[in-house]
Amino acid sequence: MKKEEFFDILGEVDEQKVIEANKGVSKKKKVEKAWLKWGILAACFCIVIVSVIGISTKKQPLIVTLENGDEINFSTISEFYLYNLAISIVDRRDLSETEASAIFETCDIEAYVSFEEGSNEFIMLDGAIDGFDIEVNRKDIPSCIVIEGEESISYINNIPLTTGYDIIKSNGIAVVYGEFEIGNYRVHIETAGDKSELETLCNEVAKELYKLIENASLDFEVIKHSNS
Amino acid sequence: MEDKDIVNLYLQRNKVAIKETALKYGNYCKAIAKNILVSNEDAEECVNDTYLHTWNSIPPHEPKILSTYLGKITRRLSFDKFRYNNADKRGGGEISLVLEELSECVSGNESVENELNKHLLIQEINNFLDTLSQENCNIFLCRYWYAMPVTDIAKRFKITENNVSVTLNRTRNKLKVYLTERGFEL
Repeated sequence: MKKEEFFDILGEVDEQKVIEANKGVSKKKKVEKAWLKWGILAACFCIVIVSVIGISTKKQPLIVTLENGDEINFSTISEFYLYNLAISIVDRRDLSETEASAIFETCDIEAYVSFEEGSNEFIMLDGAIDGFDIEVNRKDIPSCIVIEGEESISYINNIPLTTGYDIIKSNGIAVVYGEFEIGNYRVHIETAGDKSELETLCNEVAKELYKLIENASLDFEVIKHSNS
Repeated sequence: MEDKDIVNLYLQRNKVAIKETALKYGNYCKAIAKNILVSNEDAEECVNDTYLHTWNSIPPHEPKILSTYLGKITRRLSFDKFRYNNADKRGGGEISLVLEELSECVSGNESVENELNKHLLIQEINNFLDTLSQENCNIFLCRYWYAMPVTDIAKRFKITENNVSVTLNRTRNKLKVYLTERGFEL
């Protein structure tokens, strides 16, 4: 098929989706909470002092050292991409504010939660947290994000996590990610930016991972389907 | 004026319908045309042609959603104009970038799809869009339905341009895999 024809075909998709797309996404909640968010973040930094000392080396892989002594090793991976979830989702809704504060404490999160067809069990969360993309999957469900290449294993407070980055050749964008398992779930966060900002991105991801592991309850069992 | 009242004016063959359409949706149509066409004059022409096509098609059509009905006509006319302008030379502007990105999803060979297959393909694309997060779906359609520049999408969703590019890149890859698995060799 020619690309022009594919463009024509995309013009025929569901009109309701097209309308929704033109509305954009409301960030009202985030704007309202901006001062609160930064205030809480500042307080967290004062109390917990989760400051990152710095990148210890500019050679690959990149290593970020947290003040608690833990080192996060970001290896370069060959590629990672999204894959369609091989499971039927019965329902998908916004993560409620009650759930958000119970699971992520002070993190600023907007996300969707999905439930498995049949069991109505929570299986996936996807959205944005503190400016990072986040995806949480039940461990027995294959992740939507497939990573190819050698990953590094690091530890924060003895919790093992895998971290890495990929630089997209076509546009020079660096994508940095980190993931770990907790309970029955796998948590994946990532961010992206110009490759010249790679060290900063690694620092930010390391800090966010630390923040999640240190401060958030990450008790995903609180997410229930309305029919449960 | 409410959309249903504007549609009623078309159905009654009242030419005020065109004026009301221009007042309410002129900028919307212009934005779509401008995303696809470099020339302001060409965009204006396509918007005016959109009004004419709408006048000629309602009745028999009676659109439930007037905005996308107009948007689709503008998109199609603008893209036709783009193809006409670029029949014997390399394209330019945002739409060339959009097409270049979409070329990653298709073979580039002549299509043998019939109308039934096209209908099924559109259905599968809709199913695919249902699997995306709302934001990723919106970003995808802003780029490949509205042909919006990445810069504008980034502003609209309050994310970085890099983030938009990565999201689009992944969604395209995912779409290709999704359609291939369902038997569509594009």
